[in-house]
Order: sequence, then structure tokens, then C-alpha cells
Amino acid sequence: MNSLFRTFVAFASLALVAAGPALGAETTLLNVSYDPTRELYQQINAAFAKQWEAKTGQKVTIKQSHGGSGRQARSVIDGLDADVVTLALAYDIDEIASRGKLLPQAWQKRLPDNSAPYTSTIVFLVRKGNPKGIRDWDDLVRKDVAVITPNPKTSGGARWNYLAAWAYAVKKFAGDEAKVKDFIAALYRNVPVLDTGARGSLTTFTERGIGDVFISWENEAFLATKELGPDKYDIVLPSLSILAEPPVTLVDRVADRRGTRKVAEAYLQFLYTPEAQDIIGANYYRPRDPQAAAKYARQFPKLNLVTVDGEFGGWQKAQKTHFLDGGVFDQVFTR
Amino acid sequence: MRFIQGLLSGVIPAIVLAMLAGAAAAQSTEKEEALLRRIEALDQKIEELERRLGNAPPSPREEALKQRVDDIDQQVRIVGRKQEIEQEAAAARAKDGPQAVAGRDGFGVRTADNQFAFRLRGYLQADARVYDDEAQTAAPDTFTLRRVRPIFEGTLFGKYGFRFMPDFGQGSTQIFDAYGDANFNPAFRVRVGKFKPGVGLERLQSATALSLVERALPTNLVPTRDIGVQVSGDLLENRLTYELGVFNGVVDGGQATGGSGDRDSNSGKDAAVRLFAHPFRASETPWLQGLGVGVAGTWGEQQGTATNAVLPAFVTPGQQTFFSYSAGAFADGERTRFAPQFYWYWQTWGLLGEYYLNNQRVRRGTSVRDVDVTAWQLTLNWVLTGEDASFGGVRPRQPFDPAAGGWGAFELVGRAQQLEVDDAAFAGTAATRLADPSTAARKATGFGLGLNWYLNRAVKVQAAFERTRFDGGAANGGDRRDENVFFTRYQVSF
Repeated sequence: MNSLFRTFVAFASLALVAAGPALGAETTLLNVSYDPTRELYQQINAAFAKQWEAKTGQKVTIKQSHGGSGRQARSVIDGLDADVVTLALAYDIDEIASRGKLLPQAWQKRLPDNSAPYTSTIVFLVRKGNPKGIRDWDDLVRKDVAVITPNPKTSGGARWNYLAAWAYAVKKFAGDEAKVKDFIAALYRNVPVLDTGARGSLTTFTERGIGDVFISWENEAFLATKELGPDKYDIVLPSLSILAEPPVTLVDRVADRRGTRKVAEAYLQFLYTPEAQDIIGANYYRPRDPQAAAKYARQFPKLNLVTVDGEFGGWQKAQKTHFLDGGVFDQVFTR
Repeated sequence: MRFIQGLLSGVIPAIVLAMLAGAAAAQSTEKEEALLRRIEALDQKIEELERRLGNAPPSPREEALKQRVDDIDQQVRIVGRKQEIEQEAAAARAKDGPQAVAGRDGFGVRTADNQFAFRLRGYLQADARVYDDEAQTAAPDTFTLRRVRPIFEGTLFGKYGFRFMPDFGQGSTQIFDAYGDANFNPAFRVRVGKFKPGVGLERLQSATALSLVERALPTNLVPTRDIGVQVSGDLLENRLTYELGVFNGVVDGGQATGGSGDRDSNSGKDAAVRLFAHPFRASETPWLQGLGVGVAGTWGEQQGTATNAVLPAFVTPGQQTFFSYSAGAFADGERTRFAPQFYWYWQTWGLLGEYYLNNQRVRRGTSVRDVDVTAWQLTLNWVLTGEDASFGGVRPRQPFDPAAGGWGAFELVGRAQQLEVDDAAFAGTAATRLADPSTAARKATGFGLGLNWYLNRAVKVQAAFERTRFDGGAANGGDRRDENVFFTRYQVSF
């Protein structure tokens, strides 16, 4: 028996040793992102894969999934195997941490700049020549103006839109909440179609020709004017907007289970490199890196921007007050 | 506006023409001159009116009309877009809803996210066995339903699964698989119920993927099914699989401990461990990628009685018993199994080998001995039609369809095997020895040849010949007669 046991242990050890050689294999990552980042991450992914293979000899393929930020977060919580998430706002990642338990609560401190490698803001896209004379948020509540914006319940971009409008109204009405709500209600009464994501709203405004103004991510507005023709649309800068900081993070439990932590972390850190920051600027997102920011400074007008932390007490509070079921948005948006 | 345009384009020229006609009739130069002056004046007025109309802002009525048209256009677009969004949402809902599935992996229903699923699968094996006359076995040449097994499988909440598989073959009904799985992650899974413990390599191969019609002699030494709990997982990027379990401890080659049905007959339990590695799975050397090596073992104590032996009997490929312990012998303590194993598949070739060693303490009266039984086998596969050989069977590139030029896949199989029982089993007198050498063979050695025809992924036809020679097992120290058996099998699985 003893000799039998020893032999077994020897064979078991051999099997363990035999399985040991770490031979190179192709790795795949899934980046679950929000709606307008398709083009950005196509370029980022290609650059990272090239850099990673040169550095480690390992091939890596990064798959992309895009949709409304809130909906994407729910998919990850429900089991979509995202190695990394790059969403529109921190609250959606907080949900993955708190409800999905897939990453630590303090995820935002793991990378520089609150884990937001770039920023953006909200502007107006109007039809060429601005036939309705839209200049600021006040024009969006006029009865003759149709506004296109996605549903804040499903879209991260839409929540930025909503909060920017709210911040403007607070300033305009000196904090009179009843008037602010009326303003927001009037604005959403002018929204004929609520898409689930920013890309859908862009389609509504550009391809379907609906509405007079599209409340848009800055990068999406630039992209529309560039891709669809500068002779078709104009960008209007409101007197006040909001600083959007779309964050990124590792989904720890998925990455650990799939054995992709190392490459996934490298992927996120790559977003802060000069190479990636240049791609970010070229895609009309505002880079964090000073050199890239300087290079692309001309394309980004200076705006009066509020922040979610400063104006709304952070995303948790903003979400609870405005977007959870029964929140202000539900109160003012009645059809 | 239309009125004025009509005036300009129709009425005024008509008046002018009428006036000209009148002038001609009068034939008066003075009048002609007067008329010409009037025409010139009218022309000037027309030009003035046209100029005015060209620069005139739209009237309020025209503005309202244009606005109305624009509003209607927007309304139509909005309705169209809403319909489009609703259709997209409906498509998403349909995608998320329950889906009926039917295919080579069975029939069933599942939710779009695969969190919940139910599958009906199964297989049937109809065999013919022909024994040669020399064998003089008690077994007749026969057709038999070797296995008739519906399989009910399901997934609950994504991570949890179940499987229920009875067998109605060979005239009896037994539950072969009845277990629940919890797949917490690929490195840690838990299975509870009745299933194949991770021990024997060929035993772990699906009955639908066997190279020859029956499993080889070493499978006599490992559990068929057992009831217990097992944790398992894949480590090191799927290069190492582990299985670790505790079971009732069935007899060699069996699925019961000697009690009735699935009830345990004693308190002894077996611990089972298996490690199986694919060290070169991710290698860039293709011929090494399909190499798998492993080792398994069980430890436990099993206690039988004179009337409930908890001891095995070993059978030939023709399913005839060639070794059993004498009446009155029973398991009396420690039992170990040691099972190194490997397979190697590369392109059309496959090789599977097992060497198993069992040690069982057996008592008969006052005689107590540890009996070793060893068995080995080596099976070589060659797929003639070029498909890849694999542990899971052959997938024909083209299904059998002569009209379309498809003939399925053909595979040749050869096997050598041996099982040997330690002399300790036969030592002693007729009253004390554990096995009777005049009826129980000490050793069985055999070879087999087979041809498999995979008509498609669901239908397989097998023909095989197995010859087995024995040492001992006959009266007066003689050898049991050789067994020569020819098999055919028609298998349908889904």
C-alpha cells in the first residue's frame, strides 16, 4: 500500500510538472463599452495588440461590445464575460462593483485621473445654417424645436445630457427647483423619440432626419460633421455644459477566472500612453496627456463646464435623485 | 399667388392677342400705333409684376402651408422611427426569450442568455454477438440491445446543471447517471449524485465514442458508476484537469457495493483522485498537442460478508465471466486502485493506453490475503478517410450520401490487452483459497480488430473481432478455451 501510494504521488507530481510549461497561446479580451466608442477602440485595440505582441510575443485579440452604458453594465452583472469595461459614467461601474460583486468598490482609484483616461462634454448638433436659431439650452424648450436625446434610463450619454441641462436651469432659475423641473419637463416634451443609446439617437437625427437639435457627445458631434459632411450640420456650443469623465476598469473576477488579468491591466494602462492618447485626441475625445491635449487643443473649444461631483454631489447621489425609478426624470417625463 | 401667376401666364396674353386681332381688322395705322403703345405698356406692366413676384416674400398662408407640410413630414418620420425602434426592441426581446433548439446535440429549449436550458438527448446501441463454437460458452449467439439510454439534461441559473440517464438495455432498467452540477468556475466544479468517478480513462470515454464495441479488460478494475460527491476543475489554462471525490466505493467494474440497487451495503467509503494533463495543448508542435497523460487512484475500505461479498467478477470482451471469487470469499478491508493512463491523438491517428493495478484484501474463512490484479491495454486508431481521430470519436467530413458523393468516415482499430490475477487468489486448499482455479482464469490476454463506419455524427456502424486467451480457468489445471467473438453494432445517438 505504501509503495502504491508513493507511486501515485510520483505520477501525480509528474502530471503536475507536465502541465507546467507555460507555452504561448492567443489571448482574447472582451471590452464592454458604451455606444459611441466603436471607432475609438477599434484603433486603440489594434495599437495595443501590436504593442503587446512586440513586448511579450503573445497575440491578443480584443473583442468589443457596445450599447447604452446602463444596459451594458446590466449585461456584465448578468454574466457577460467582460475582462474590462469602458463605460460612459462611473455609476454604471459602481453598479458592477456593488450589485455584481465583480470588482472592488474602490476601483476608481486604481488608475490615474479617477480611472478616466480621457474626458468629453456635451454640445448641440444642429442642421446646417441652424434654421431654428438654436444658441443655448433655452432654445431647447421652445415649442417649435424638436430635441433628440437618448433615454437616461439606458444611456450614459443621455444622463450627461440631462445633468448638463439641469445645471443650466439651476443657474438660470437661481436654484428654484420647481422652475428647474418645469424647464426639464419642457425640454423632454420636445423629445419625439427616445433611443436607448447615443448611437441610436445619432441615427434618428442624421439618417432619419428627425428633430432640430441633437444633444450630443462632443466626439459624436465632431464625428457626424466629419463623416456625414460639414455641409449638413453645425455644432453649437451652449453657454454651460458638463465635464464628462468616462471611466475604465478591470472586471477582476472575470479576468481572474479567464486568466487574463495581466494583459487586461496592461490594456487599460495602455490607454494612458502617449500613443493611445494621440488616438484619443484624433477621435475627438479630450486627452489627459498634456502633449496630446496641446496637439488637439485647437479642435476643442473652451466651455464653461460643471462637474458631477461639484454640481450634483457625485454619481451615486445624482443617480438616486434623478434616474432611479421614481426619480426626478420619471416625475417630469410623462407621456 | 397662383391667381396672379395664372393672370400673367394666361389671361393677359389672351387679352393682348385679342387686341391685336382687333387692330388688324380695323386696318388703321393710327389705331395700330395706339395699340402697339398699349402693348408696350402692358409688357412693361407684366415685367414689373413678374419682377415683383420673383422677390415677393411668401404670404402668411404659404408660410403656414409650408410649416404644415414640414410638420407632417416630421410626424411621418417620427412614427417610422418609433416603429423601427419598437421592431429593434421586439427583435431583442425575441432574442432574449425562450428558444427551441434542435440539432446534433439534441432537442430542447433554452433562454437566449443560456441561463436556463433543457435538453433531451440519448443513444441506442443494437448489437449482434457471434461466438465461435470452440468457446463453448453458455452465451448464445444473440442480438441484443446493449444500451438504450435517454438523457435529460438541464441548466439552471447558468451555473447549475443536472443530468438524468436511465438505461433500458439488456432487459433491465437501471439509473446510470443522476447528478447535479454546480459550475462555480472552470477551476472549481462540484458534482453530487451518481456518475462516473474520475478513475478509468476508457470508462470516462462516452459509450458512443468507443473504438471497439466493448471496453477493454482494464475497465474491469475501475468503477462504472458510483454515488458520491466530486470536485473538479481545469487549471493552468486548461492544461491540467483534476478530479477529487468521495464515493460509496463500488466493486471493480461495477456500480454497486453489493447492496440492493444503489444502496450502500457497508460504511466503508472510497476516496478517488485523478490528475490528467495536456502539457502541450498550446504548443506550436502540432503532433504533441493531442497528448494527454494522467494518473488516478482510489483508496478505501470495503467490508463484505459471506453472503454479500462486495467483490468483483471480471468479464471478457464477449461479456462472459472468466474470473470470480469462490463462494464465501468477501472483501475484508483496504482496497486501492492505481491507474496511470494516457492518450495521444494526432491527425488521423490515435493511441490510448491504460495500466491499472488493484489491491484488495479478501477473506475466506480464516484465510486473509491481499490480492493484486493488474490489467493493461493499448488501442490504436487510424481514420482511413482523413478526419481527425479524437477521444470524443470521429466527425465525418461528409455524411453518408452516395448521391452527393459522401460516404461518411471509416476508421480502423486494433487493440491488445491483458488482465492478470495475483497467485495469492489461488493459493491454499479448496477450503481456504479465494478463487477456484478450475473455474476462474488467472490471466486473460487478447487482441481485437475493428472497423467503424461513421455515417454522420449521429449514426455509427461497428464491426469487430475479439480473441481472448486464458491461463487457468479449466479443470485439472487446464486453460479455459479461447473466446472468439464477432460483434456488430448499429448506434444512433443524438
